[in-house]
Amino acid sequence: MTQEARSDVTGTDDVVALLMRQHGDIHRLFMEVERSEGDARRDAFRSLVRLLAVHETAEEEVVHPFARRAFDGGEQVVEDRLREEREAKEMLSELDRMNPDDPRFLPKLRALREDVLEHARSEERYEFAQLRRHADPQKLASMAKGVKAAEAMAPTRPHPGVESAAKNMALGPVAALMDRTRDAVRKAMGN
Amino acid sequence: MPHDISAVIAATARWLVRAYPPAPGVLNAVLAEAQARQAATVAAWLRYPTHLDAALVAIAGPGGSARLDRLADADVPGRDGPDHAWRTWVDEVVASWAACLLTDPGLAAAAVAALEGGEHTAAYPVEFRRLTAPDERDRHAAPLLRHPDLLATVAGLHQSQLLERLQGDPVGAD
Repeated sequence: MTQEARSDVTGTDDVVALLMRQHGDIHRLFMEVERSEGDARRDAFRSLVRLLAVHETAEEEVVHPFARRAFDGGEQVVEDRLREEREAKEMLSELDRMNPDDPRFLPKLRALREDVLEHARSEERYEFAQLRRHADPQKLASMAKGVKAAEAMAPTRPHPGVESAAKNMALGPVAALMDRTRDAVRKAMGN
Repeated sequence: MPHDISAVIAATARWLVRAYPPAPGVLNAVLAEAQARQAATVAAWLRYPTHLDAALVAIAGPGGSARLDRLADADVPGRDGPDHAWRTWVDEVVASWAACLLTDPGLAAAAVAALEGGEHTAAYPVEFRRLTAPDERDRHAAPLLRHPDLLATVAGLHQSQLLERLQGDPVGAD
């Protein structure tokens, strides 16, 4: 779900399609937690918790602010979704403190799954449909880029300039070097 | 959207969470990460307010975490370790400003307000609720990351620059 920063931000995606794919991934991970046992269940549950939190944060940052402003009743639609998310998070927190092999774990997980999937259906029906209606394709693509950037992982390769930067330390702190570079480029561009 | 600096934001947020670890449990970890990332995002967008600035830092390099690691007394990996790569993408000023925002709600609100009308928020409205209005669960997840005394050294590194920026230093005037 998440990706390494700077990779594959194509601009051809749209935020509704992206978030609906995540709804599908969330459903799949619930199934995986139910089907697996022991360490595999623990790993799948970790992935599920991570995706739920990342998905919810992205919606709070990018989707809800737009929905609030975009259509009549948007504010109430968003408030209803936030209330459902808070309730789900309480259950998620209880599950997070339990041993996944505890006999009470699966019944609680299934109850959470029903709530989360109902919440996702409400989002798709009341919020995403309005997003599609009120935002043009360019805006939907731009919001998708924002969500992907927010979910980016830290890079696994060093910055290519790291060797020269180390040599340049003799010139002064890196922050000051950055400011001087920026000033020089601005001057060159006439800004 | 400034995808050029998403690597800088992600690495700087990771540095903050590694230096000030979350409460136990995967939910706490991911909620703390979200707060650190929102703080690093707001800090980076303030520090590099235009797409040109963002592109430049991505090319020139953000400097890395060397001084921060020394200050936070972090267990720094060797150059060949898996932790070396992302640390080269850490931006010291962004980390310091993010530390200021995480530990001072007034500064966090002012910083988010200062983004309005800028290039990074031009395409659509963005909210950073986990940074500006953390709920009980968010706070419980990140007790160290929100502790002003613990973050004071890092926050103090570039705090005066942040205050200047928030006191009306217009974009591109420096």
